Amino acid sequence: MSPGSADPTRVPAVVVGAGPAGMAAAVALAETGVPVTVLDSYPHPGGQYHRPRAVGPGAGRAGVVAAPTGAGTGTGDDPTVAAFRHHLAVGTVHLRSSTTVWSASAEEGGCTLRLTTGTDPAAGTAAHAAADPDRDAALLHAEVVIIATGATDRVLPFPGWDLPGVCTAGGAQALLKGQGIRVGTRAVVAGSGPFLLPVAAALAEAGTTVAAVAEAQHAAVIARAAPRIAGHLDVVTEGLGYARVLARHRVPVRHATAVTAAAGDGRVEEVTLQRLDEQWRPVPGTEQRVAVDAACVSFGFVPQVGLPALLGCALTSDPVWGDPVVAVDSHQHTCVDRVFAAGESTGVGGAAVAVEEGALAGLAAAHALGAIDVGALRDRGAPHRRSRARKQAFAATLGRMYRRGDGWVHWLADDTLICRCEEVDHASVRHAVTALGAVDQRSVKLTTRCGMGRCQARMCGDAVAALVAHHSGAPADDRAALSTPTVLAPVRLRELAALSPEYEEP
Amino acid sequence: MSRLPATADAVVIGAGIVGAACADALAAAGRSVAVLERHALTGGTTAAGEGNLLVSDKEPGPELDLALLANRGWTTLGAALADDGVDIELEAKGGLMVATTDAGRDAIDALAERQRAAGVVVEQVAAEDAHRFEPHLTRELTAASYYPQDQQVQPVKAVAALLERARGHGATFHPATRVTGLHHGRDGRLTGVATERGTVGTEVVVNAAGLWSAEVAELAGVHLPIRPRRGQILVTEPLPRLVHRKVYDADYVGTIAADPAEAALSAVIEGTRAGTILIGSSRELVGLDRNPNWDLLARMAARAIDLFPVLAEVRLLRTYLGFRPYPPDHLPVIGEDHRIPGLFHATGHEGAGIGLAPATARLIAAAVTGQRAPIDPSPFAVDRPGLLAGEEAARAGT
Repeated sequence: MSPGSADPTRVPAVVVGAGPAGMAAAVALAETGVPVTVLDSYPHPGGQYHRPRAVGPGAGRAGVVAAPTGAGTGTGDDPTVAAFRHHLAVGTVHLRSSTTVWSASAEEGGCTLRLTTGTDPAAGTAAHAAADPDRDAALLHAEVVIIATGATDRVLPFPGWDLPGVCTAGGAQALLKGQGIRVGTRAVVAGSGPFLLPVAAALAEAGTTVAAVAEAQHAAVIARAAPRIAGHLDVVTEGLGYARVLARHRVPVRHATAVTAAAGDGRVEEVTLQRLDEQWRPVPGTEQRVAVDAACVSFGFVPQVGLPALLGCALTSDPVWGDPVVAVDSHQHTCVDRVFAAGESTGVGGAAVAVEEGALAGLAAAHALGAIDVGALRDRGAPHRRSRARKQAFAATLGRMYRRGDGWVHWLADDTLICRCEEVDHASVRHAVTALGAVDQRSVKLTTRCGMGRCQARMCGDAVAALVAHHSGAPADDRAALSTPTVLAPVRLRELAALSPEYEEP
Repeated sequence: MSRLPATADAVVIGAGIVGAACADALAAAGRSVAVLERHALTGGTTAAGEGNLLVSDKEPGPELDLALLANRGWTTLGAALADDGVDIELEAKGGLMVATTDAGRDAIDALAERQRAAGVVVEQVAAEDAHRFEPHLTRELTAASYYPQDQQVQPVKAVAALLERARGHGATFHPATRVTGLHHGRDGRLTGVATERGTVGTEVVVNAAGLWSAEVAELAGVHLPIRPRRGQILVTEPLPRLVHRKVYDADYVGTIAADPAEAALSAVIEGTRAGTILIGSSRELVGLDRNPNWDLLARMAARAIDLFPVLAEVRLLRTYLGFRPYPPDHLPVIGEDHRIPGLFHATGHEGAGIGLAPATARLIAAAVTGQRAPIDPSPFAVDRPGLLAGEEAARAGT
């Protein structure tokens, strides 16, 4: 540790991400006396879950949720947020907002993180970070790194999903919470997972007519796992709360139903709701057209594992969702020395799990730095470990309730775009797989450009993997074994060049 | 993705650009061909390249002869495929070699003179006129020469098109089919290829496995000194065309033959039809390490900005790296292995495999069918002095 070091590019501990897991990790580390640098790509800390709310319709309505991160009714009086604010105020935690790790490597004695500032790549808006040139180096060497990069909405393509007015449930919520903007006056909220309910409730409370909530999962599948959540009274109560809001606004909630198409002239004007069988194949003859000016569609969350993969952390397949997640031990330690991970990047479990994992990662990182001994690690970690186990079990139950079927590929038309960045349609992907012999995700990308664009397959990767499996008849790729992008966010060439000692600004 | 045939006139191992071109040439010559690929198409070097079809970077000699033959081959192939409505993004965009130092100017001029004598078209361009070719090029040049024969292709599309054409002539393609053994009879001649999915009886095997060609040779019990030499490329966001041709730093030519133990770099900058700008290139002998070398990448970006100051504000979208199949004497290995009758190698093209593929395929087809080769194939033979002996010398030295 070198807290008094003059070199601002060398720090003992970096936490990447200031959502629930990242804040909890920073707090735990700071409380052991380790100075912490927190990097976050958004202008304000809190992540999607604690996104600052605008004043406006629906504002101020808060509840404590244990739904997946992003279910987002987190509050300012949350103990993690309060402790984080305290450490910011006293300077034991240094937050670099609007700062994105665009590349990283693990080396002997720590990690090098390469940073870009000033934009918010996820939201695509300019951010205004307070410039602090001494401390805002473009390069950071950290002795320990805690990855808390969270998750993004899972998007499955359907005909018309690229029309303006179609967005993710998370996007609709971010607009509402962040800027007080409603996505439309008449909307459907569709996809799968418990997150649909708070989004639909928030939209309804904000004055949007929610024509329907369409949950793809069959009610019977959800009900089968339901007894296991009976013990989690807080969550049940919260769910009932949303149900009451939806009932008050007369919002119908339909199970085994999906938006299988959206149509409109220049923007979405109507969606097709259709029944699904147990494998999520659309049932012919059950189509129903609904006039809307917005459709919010998400199928749960995809963990963000670009950074850990770059650092060489082993990924594993999430046992519930099948997504690649960071493999960690009971101390949230990845397979790379002094690199820890917490929250959704280790498996989607919600904010409640994330804060426990964050606290454990922070303690383990403090131990790795020699700030606490093994006894303190054990004692301080004990309550967090108990909560983590209980909450992880709950998250796994939710996962079983909402496990997705693979029949959704049947709602794709030939000309449905799969990759929006490069405008690659379903027929092109199918042709690549069946005619060209592109039987893995990489060769589909190479033959079609699918996933080569700005988002680097973050949006379409999941769908492409499913399509390769579907059209080749082979089991799905081991996505955890796929090579990951080396550039996590676009960066100016001069920022890269500046890493070379010989470079002179033109 | 048909079932493995029980027999074939020829088996091609590897569905990169060289394998696809060989399959196409052999199928067109009336042979029944099965293409075996361990992964999917272009799983190795092919997809990691820029699609360069260059004559400009070669000194006079056998490789330049091969490149000139291949260059005409690409033009013919592109036209034939276009007639069938298949687009492989072939562009005769030309290359511009530029220098920013006096030494670079002398090197450019001398190279141009030697290449002209060997049949390359080179136009001398006054340094102050270079921006007519490339408006965004730095004005601080000392020399430039223009190579109108240099072309570009989208290599993955080219492989897909060649494989599809080969299938039109009856060839079969088998992805996810790893070769596990090469059978031969008592007389030493090849009799078949064993795979994870069954055996194909054949007397002709074309080893176009690139990076894995040494492993394939090993299956036949013979040594082939092909090693991976790593390269990295920067890819920018898509933009309206800023760079119209291929633009090379003058020392690009020197880099290829440079001391292989050193990491070498030399700027190669070009725009693609997709709108992205590709910035190469580097050469490193680091085995199959996939961790990017950010120091090298930073230097590549710096040099690219030197040549095109406008690039400073352009965003990097991704980087990728690949491994070139590298022989110790820088010449591809093309022809029948004197040690194993029936085993033909088509490998070791290092970074020039895409450019050299059509000519390689013609030499292989000539060797397999017993026709006369369009150029002298002996410099590329497995038993040439520089290859196996060179490897032994290199081993003895270490």
